[in-house]
Amino acid sequence: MEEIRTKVREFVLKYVRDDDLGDNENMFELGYVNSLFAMQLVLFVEKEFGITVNRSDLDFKNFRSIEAITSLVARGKGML
Amino acid sequence: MSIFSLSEEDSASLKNFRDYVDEVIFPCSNEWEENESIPDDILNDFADRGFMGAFIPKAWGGMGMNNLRFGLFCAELARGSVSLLSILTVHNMTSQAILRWGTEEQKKRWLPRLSKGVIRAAFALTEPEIGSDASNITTRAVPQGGTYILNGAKKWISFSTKADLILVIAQYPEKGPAAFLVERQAPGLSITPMKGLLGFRAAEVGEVTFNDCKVGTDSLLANPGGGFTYVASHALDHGRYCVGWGGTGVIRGCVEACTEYTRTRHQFGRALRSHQLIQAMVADMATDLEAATSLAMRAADSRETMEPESIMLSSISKYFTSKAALRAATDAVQIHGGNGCGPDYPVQRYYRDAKVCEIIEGSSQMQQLMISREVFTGALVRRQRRRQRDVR
Repeated sequence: MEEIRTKVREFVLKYVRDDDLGDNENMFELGYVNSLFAMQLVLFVEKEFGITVNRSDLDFKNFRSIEAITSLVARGKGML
Repeated sequence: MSIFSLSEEDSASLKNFRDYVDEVIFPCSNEWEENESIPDDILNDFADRGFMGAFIPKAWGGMGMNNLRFGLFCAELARGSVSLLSILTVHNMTSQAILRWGTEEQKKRWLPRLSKGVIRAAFALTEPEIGSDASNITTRAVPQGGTYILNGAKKWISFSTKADLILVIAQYPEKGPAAFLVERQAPGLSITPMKGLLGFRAAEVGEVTFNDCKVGTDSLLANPGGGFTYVASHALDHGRYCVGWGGTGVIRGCVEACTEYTRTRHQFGRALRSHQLIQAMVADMATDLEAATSLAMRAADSRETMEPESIMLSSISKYFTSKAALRAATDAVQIHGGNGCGPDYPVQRYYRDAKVCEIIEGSSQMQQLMISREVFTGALVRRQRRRQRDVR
């Protein structure tokens, strides 16, 4: 999980540029996520972790924070 | 034009595309624009050749072209008819949205027929009062007794006058935008052709109205709330990729038209091409063509490997290329003079269509907003630094 979280955090911070962003902070509420970034997040988790994001995963709660994305990936890899 | 280093297979495909466009499309496209419609026999022949499913995987009955080959195809189509490219683009925007976010049942129901062009698809996001502010559309969809009831209107919808299936983005109560697959025969749906347009005149553009339009629950594509952020954005990303390549086709068409015209047209006792001010305009076109093709190929490469940056690269390609296409078309009309304003040459069509390319699938200003956001967040700079380190 920690390795996944580190990679997710690294990717998110490329776009957000907020080193103080907490793993559980809601990026949607903070205004960091637009439709472009949302699609980039989908492509990132699929390519980086080799999982498929399907329509049932298309819930903002799965992408709202570094921790949420980490959990989505972990579930996709059968770790949770 | 140097198309860099294409594989033998891609080169052969490109030749086939060019032959098709030169024989079937180019000779007729000015007439189609005048008539504001593409004849059904042309569209049926286009489908019979498999082209409606050019970018749909073979597993679903399509041709399964990769991103580069599909891009080359889009460029050639645009050289012949930007209206026809527009039709293929929106048909594929809906197809790709189903492929990406549809249930297995939706894929089985629609994709094989979309691949073969047995049914035709359009994409409806823009409204009479909502353009760039697309997440705030006003068309509504309300669940009611095992159905959804849609009310509202969409405008500037390419291919809608001939579409059998329309991907519609509408607001869902308390959830936000949702995406619906609406069949043409749905009760309460009406489509009105739009005539007298600046460009894309033959793209079968229409206004779509929903008056208590009833659709089944199986028409919902993805979860309510994700209709814009995921479904429409995915479709628009695909659309921007097509327009980016299409712009290279327009520029190439301008270069070819000007090459021929300046060879045969004489003024002041000399061929036009021997005049330096003419040479300057052609040189700028050729330079833009190389630059635009480079960007389009970079976008193709990143899409093939599903890089997150592919979305931004398609946006950059679309932004640059549509502007470059308008520059090229402006100069091409200038070089042709009075002849450039008439229906006997293709450059007036390129000029009108290139302007529209700056507006569709997100205006140039919206692309600038997206691109500048990346610049300000430092993502582009960091990626370039990383690439430089990797090269070393």
